[in-house]
Amino acid sequence: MKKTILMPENNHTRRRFLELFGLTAGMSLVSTNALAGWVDKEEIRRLTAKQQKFMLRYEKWMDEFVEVIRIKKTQPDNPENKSRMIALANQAEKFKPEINEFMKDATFSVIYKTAIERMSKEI
Amino acid sequence: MDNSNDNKRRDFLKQGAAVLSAAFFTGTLLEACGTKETENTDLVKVLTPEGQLIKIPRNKFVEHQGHVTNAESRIGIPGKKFVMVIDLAKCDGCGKCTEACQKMHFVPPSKEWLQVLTMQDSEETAPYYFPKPCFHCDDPPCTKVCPVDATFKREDGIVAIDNERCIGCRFCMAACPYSVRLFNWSEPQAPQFEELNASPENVFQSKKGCVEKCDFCPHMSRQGKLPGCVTGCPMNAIYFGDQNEDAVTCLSGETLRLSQLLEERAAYRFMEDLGTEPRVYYLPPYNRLYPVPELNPEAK
Repeated sequence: MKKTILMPENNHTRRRFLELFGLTAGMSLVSTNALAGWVDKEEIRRLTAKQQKFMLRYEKWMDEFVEVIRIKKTQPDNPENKSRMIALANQAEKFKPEINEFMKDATFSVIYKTAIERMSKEI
Repeated sequence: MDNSNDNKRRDFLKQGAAVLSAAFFTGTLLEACGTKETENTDLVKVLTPEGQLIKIPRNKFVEHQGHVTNAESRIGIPGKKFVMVIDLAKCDGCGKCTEACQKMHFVPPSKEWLQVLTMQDSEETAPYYFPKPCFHCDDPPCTKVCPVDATFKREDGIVAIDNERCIGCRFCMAACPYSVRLFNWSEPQAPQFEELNASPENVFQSKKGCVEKCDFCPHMSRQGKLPGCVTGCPMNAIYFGDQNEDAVTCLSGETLRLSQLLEERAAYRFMEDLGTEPRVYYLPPYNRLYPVPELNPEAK
């Protein structure tokens, strides 16, 4: 099954993320080996519709978070960037009930942790 | 100051040794008495001073609760609301607060939980020293982004870290607008003693792959004592206390009414516009008690 999601050309991190979830047109091209270290393809498919929806929202948040982190590295005292970070933190707090609920599911837990690891590398 | 810290640590170790010795003695004594009630009771193993592992009935054994449990340390010290006030007019940038903090928490000199920066508000004004600990914000962004609740806000105002939960994602470091959090990339040098149980209130908190920062020394507050940086400041520039009691104290023992001090000295909080509600107040550096510092171009 192929799905097409339109996104800006420069949005590489989002594409990588979506590839992980098998939601992009490149799903069929993602080799099993690329995912084998983290999660089985079949397990990704077993994510519920709710979980997939949540992860898309979370992924969007992560993209913004990464952007702010990149700015922080070059302009640590940028006040606008700091305010943006505070806003993103407030947004993250709202995700917590869903994360706590979904983390009870092992499949989600593995995928979520993989996503976190990806982002941690940017910090 | 260094001696004072040494004394406290020595006292702590002495107390620990005394408790262990008492436990060993109890075990030895019970063994010597050949008590019969051990057969049908729940037994606990105790190591004697001779190195023998013996069993004694649980009801004869009193466990020493030297440290608070993890659950207690997540709640905080009941009825308290800790607050810090730093008088910039008194700070001469000696860095003794940083040293005392490092000694208190067994942190190497390369790591500073409390940094002393040189600040200059504008080209027309003279630079001044600015000690920067964790601000223990009342609305902390760091705790909000932590996906595993490893860093959390306690009822007593302290923002603590539970390194048993921390997964090392460093989201909290990224979210902290004051950049006060540090990451342990390598195995830290552990002290000679081992604390009874893992707790965010432990003296030694460093752990490879985890984040650490100033913790407002809750282990000292539990004993009614001042944090390491406060007792390390020879200029009496750092005050610490309880907002609920409306009082703060410095090394000399001078205790001031918090609300009055903040009002009379026009206290402010760092980057207040961000709305994080820091629990550290600064008293502006006027009528300074030290020579104007040379501005380090790298300092901000």
